[in-house]
Amino acid sequence: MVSRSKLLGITPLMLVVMLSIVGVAYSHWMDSITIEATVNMGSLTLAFDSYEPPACLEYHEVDGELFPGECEGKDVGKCEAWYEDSVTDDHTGKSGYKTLVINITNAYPQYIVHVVFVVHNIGTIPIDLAGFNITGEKRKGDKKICDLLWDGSGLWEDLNKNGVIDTGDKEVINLSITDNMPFQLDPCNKNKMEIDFEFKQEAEECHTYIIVVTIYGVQWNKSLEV
Amino acid sequence: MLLILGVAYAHWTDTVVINTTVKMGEFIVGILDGSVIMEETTNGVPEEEFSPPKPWVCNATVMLCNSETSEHHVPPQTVWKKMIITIDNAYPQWDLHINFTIKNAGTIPAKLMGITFSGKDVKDDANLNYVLEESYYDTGLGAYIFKGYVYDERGRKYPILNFRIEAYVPEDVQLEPCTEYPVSVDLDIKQTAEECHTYKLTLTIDFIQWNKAGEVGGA
Repeated sequence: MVSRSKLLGITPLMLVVMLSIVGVAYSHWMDSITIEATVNMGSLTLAFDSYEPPACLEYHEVDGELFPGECEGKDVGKCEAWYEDSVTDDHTGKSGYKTLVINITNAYPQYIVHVVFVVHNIGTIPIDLAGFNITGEKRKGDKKICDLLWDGSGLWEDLNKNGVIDTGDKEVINLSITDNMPFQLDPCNKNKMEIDFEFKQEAEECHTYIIVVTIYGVQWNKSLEV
Repeated sequence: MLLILGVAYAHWTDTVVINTTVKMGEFIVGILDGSVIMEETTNGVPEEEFSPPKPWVCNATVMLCNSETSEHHVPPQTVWKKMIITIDNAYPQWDLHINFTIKNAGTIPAKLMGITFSGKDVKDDANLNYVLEESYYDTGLGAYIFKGYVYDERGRKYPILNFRIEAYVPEDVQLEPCTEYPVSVDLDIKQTAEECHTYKLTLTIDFIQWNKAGEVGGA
């Protein structure tokens, strides 16, 4: 016969087993708060516009005024411009190009050409067009002769190869870019811009000038920092 | 036999009855109805105060759901169990500041047991982790301060957002019934957050009945 004390001893254990069998949990009072955050990031993509191709416009100067076309109606110099490196914004699905190629052949002193192009904000965040940088080099065939340095209005041959414009260097191309920077380009918006070239008397025959213009766009709230 | 013989078998008996009524308490901790205040800034300045103003670039919404109403309060007190924050078109240096109030709407003291974090980069299907840089009780403020950042699978050098949480609770993290405790959460999107990605973050704050905290390793 089971004694009373032994029965009392096994009763809690039996209770736990029974609670487990019938699926009752032995627990505490608990509660919780949940904070769920979903962050959908935007995109920042500056591109050349895929809708409107770049255009080359030739001019000649008479008494300080520009007239369309080359002098005396001739077709001597030639300018072609096109876009390369297509890009599609993941977020918006809009497309554009990252590179504008300008190919000027048979240029001569006082040959003036303006290249008109359109930049497009195909992302979702406003872009500050903060500025641009122009670099380049002078070549003869495949051989590099020297770097080209830009002083804000013209390109200089760095003849003494010291990386700065100083005595001994010579200006070969007047180059300006429509400069209303910095300005903000909101998503979906476009801005028409222009690069103007005028070849100077000092430019050398049969040489090639490679010019790279980089336009910097930064997220609209960071423009002051750059 | 006794019945056949007609002999009665009985005792003298009496009874004492103890009637017990147990009115159980209630254990509810939640976010107080109508307590959420939100402010969006960019580099510390609201988007609409820039020149030109850009109030439409990034926007956040905060929604409370899963309500629970205390039966013991007169009038009944409703608190919310879940806060859903949705941020659209975020970009680096955009900040979100949320203030809200946690209330112990029940009748039993609650003790903070733990905070768990989980996160996911939905686009890369990768988990997010966090670094807690600072965690201390500011006796001057009377608040716990938690400061750190969340990073993705690229590693700690690629923070996605900074966070700072100020919880104005007692140092023993015991929330008394009918008492309200302000909390502020600041989020700051970092430069290394990736374009067009969606980050999902979940913070779960667990409370336990005050007298059980020690048994389960509560705070």
